[in-house]
Amino acid sequence: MFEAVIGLEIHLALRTGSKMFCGCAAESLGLLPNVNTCPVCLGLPGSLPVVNREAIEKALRFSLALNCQVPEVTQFHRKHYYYPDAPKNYQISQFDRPVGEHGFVELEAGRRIGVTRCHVEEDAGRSVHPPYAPYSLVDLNRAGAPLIEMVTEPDLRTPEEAREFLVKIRAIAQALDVSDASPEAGKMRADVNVSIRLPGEALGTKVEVKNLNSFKSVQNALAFEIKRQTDLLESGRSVLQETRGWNEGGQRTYSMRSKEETADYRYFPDPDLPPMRVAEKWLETVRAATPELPDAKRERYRELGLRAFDAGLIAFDVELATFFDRAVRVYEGEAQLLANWLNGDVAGHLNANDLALSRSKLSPENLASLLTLVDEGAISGKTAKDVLPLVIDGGDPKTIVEERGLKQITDLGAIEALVDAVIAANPAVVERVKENPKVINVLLGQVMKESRGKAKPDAVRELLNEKLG
Amino acid sequence: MELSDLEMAHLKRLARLELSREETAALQKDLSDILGYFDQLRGLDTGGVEELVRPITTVDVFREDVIRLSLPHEKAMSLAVEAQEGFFRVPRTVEEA
Ligand SMILES: [Zn+2]
Repeated sequence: MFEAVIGLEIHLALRTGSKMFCGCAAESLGLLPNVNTCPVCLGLPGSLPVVNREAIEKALRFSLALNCQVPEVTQFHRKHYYYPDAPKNYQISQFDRPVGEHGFVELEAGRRIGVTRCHVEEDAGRSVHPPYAPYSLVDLNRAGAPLIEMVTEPDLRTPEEAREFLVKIRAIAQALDVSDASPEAGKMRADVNVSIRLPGEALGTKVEVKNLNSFKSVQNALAFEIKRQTDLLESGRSVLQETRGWNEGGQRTYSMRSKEETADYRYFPDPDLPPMRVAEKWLETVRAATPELPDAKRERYRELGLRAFDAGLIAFDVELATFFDRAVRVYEGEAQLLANWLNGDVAGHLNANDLALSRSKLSPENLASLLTLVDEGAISGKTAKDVLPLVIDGGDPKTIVEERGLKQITDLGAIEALVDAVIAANPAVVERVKENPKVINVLLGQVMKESRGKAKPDAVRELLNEKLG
Repeated sequence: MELSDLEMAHLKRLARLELSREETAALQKDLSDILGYFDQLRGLDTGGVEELVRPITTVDVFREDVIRLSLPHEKAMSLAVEAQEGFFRVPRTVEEA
């Protein structure tokens, strides 16, 4: 039985205001083409790039979080190649002294995945290829935007592990405010290397798959590629070392058949960019500014009494975690209850309306207050679910309950009057209860209906049992 | 150190240079001379000399993360050999799918 050997190369767009080496805005989503450029990112002769300190600082923060060793001096190299989206005919990248090396990330099962390196580089522009036209169009808004490239050791063994790794990297990048890390928005891109071998034997021929823009496609492309390579070897053929693309519609990889010669990038230290000393003092500032990491968050949530599943779900989603932390601060009930609501009804309602938590008007305080109303017995759980959409739309739970008269009837006298009235009005049902005690539910339903759902079901059942039992 | 014809062809290709036979020969000689000079340097004992990547000692030049005005679109595009719909237009870089 073959085993897969998988390595990942991940690009993350750094979250900064300006580009890597010039003052143009780093974000150009939704802008007209070529409105975010200047002599530096257009690569005009005589322009001088200057390093964005924030980008280096965030890259250091990320490297430390991935347990990387950070060199005393880091520097930029020029990587030469010709492509219209690289206006200088070289990309400023890092070569021998990246911001981080020899790190690792631990998977759920405790296995460590080696991080070979993390380096900073500038992004390329964007090419558009209109169908059947003899030309391509180039937009340089993105050219020079800051990126982190991280490369793993070939330590991953299954498509599922690769996905778990990506989810973890995304969570870390988001928690550290290093990157939006959203594949959908093009802020996180992954290439994979995959080969198969018999366990214990030497590495097989590796295939690179490019253009994977969701975690799901990474997982599917890997599964497809492992099957394809297994079929080849089992039928006595061999795997060709090549770069393949991923066809999302057909859910298959395809040969890119590029006439690519062996890359000869002619790296050399960029003479425009002096080396940067990463003094211990700077690292201390970086460490001090590093927020809680997802693993530590999950541990803290477990200690609050959350089930492992909910703790992980919340800890690995920075938006959810921020919300949860604020809600837990004001909510006096069980933290698990809060998690149930967040991951259950709230998530369901938001998904159904295609709304992000941060874009909704739901505040942690209002969710806590809604749950508190249930805990105090002021409203039933059912009523809470009914009014949740209003609370998500920004309504204050107390006001809603007050204004709509949804408060539970807790006055036993009032409930008893209702129970008596229902018994008196349904003599036939009362007869049947004597033969089949379950029929009491019919009466219960009737009382609830009469109270417009506001009677406490427990109290009603108790009274009915008392009177008919 | 003599640069071979094959290496010369490779370099021309990498640098996207179109050179006549004469120009190639002249450049081949110049580059070979330069390599010869480096061969000479290689003969020196540099064991105790620290690596010098840049001739300047400047380090740690940073800018703060501040967004500044970009070039007006017309100005950026005024450099384009060909433009279309606000894009730079270049020879097609991918084959039709
Ligand atoms: Zn610029």
